[in-house]
Amino acid sequence: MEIVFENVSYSYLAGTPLQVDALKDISTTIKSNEINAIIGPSGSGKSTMIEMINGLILPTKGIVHVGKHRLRNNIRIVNSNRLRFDIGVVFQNPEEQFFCKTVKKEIEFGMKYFEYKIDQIEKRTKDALKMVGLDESFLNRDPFKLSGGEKRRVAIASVLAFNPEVIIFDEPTNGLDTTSKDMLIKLIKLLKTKYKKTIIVVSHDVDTLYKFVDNVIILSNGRILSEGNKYEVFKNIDYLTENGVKVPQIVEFIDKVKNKTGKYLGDIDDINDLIKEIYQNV
Amino acid sequence: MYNNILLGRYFPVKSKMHDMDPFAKMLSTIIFIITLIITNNLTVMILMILVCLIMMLRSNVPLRLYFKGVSSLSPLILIVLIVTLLINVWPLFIIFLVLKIVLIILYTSILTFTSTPTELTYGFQKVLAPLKLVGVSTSKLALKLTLAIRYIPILFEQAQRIIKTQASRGVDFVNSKFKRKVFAFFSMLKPLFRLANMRSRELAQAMELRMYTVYNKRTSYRTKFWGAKDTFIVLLHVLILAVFITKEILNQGSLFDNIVWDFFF
Repeated sequence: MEIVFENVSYSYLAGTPLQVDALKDISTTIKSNEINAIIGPSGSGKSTMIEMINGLILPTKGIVHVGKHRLRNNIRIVNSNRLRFDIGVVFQNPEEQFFCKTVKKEIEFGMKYFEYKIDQIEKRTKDALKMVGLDESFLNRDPFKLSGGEKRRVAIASVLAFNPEVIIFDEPTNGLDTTSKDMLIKLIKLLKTKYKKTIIVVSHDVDTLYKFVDNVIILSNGRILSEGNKYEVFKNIDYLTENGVKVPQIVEFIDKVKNKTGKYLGDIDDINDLIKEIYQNV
Repeated sequence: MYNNILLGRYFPVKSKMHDMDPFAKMLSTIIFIITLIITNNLTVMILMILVCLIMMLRSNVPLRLYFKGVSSLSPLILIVLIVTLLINVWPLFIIFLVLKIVLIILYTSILTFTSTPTELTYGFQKVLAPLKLVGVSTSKLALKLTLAIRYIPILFEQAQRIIKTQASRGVDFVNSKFKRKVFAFFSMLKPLFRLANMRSRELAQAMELRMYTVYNKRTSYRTKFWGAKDTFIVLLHVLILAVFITKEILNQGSLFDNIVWDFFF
């Protein structure tokens, strides 16, 4: 499912002296069946963008095309439930969504709202839990008593369970240990390759994102600073650094090697591949 | 849905109202509310509306922000209206009652728009100082009141985030049937209370870690001191109250012989 932003602006507390322009005339396309990252410092408009995709807020100006849905100012979303079914969002803080007594009920919650059949609900709950690397013993546990990483996994499972076409991850690696991060990256890659999902990841963690995303949109002060294929975007190191954007360490390293030795190691996003390349070339 | 909450926020601009001593503002608010509650005199009401409007204009906060605050509390006004209509009271009483609620909201908005949390705490402490004589810990009470006021926008923002989270899982807070709306409401309320509880515990711990304890005597760092304008404002409020008391005594011989009293007793 392709998502197109057409001259979109959004202001909080619009029309008051406290007005904050979160997005300023943004036009971009989020590609279908790919992993897209939205990067930018706090207050750059990342969260506003994802809330708009899910129809939680409507643009002040412009149009957002989400598949067949059209979102524009002051026009009620036709079939908002279908839009929410198509777009799953894993929010940053799982605590904000938990309110059931067991993990099982928590995962079933969305499916019940989207009117899945009971026999399907049971099966999908177990499958979703398995996908995030938790076993069935978690089903009857209290979601509030889980560790931070486990809570995050349950929150992801509760979205995966209703099988949305687009999955948005808001700061997914925040507070996760290395093992959990690796597990999450594997899962996101699997969702793209095996289940043909469109993935949108919003994060500050450029180094982790660089490992697995395909495309990048860099936001700064509500405007798009740069966008496109990750290798192309991060080639403009000087431009990005001038604008206060952190460049992945691996990109910086490859650039330094190129400047010193004249040898370009290639478009590499994984540290193991980089080591291999160094052994072969240097 | 709950996107643009202004109630309880501080509005950082320069104005005569911002420069006032917080204790004077607090004192004026209390006198204003007391007068408002006990009066049903048209002249006094007009005077109070005028005072409120002048203070709103002097605060340099756009008037529409004040009225936005009133509109966000319109469900409360509506409930009061329905209840009073059901018990069949005098129409003028209903108009007065609604006017009083609106004036209270507007006047307390002046206080919150023009005072920082520290100023509010200081003001509360000063106002509550006489209670020390009967052994009440006023600093503790003042802190509780200030935090409660400041928590309103935080709770609204938290509720807004939870609503968004639940809405993205299919919970329809707007278009669903009544039964589902009740369930949706609980799906928002439960995490909200838990998170508010968690946040307040964290806040208390953070304050304790920085050696804050309400039982110790504290000095106040003040940038605003009582001046002529503070005396003038407080006296103006006292004057309105005096006008009302004199009018009541002259007209009816009794201070509490007014419609509010009649209504309750």
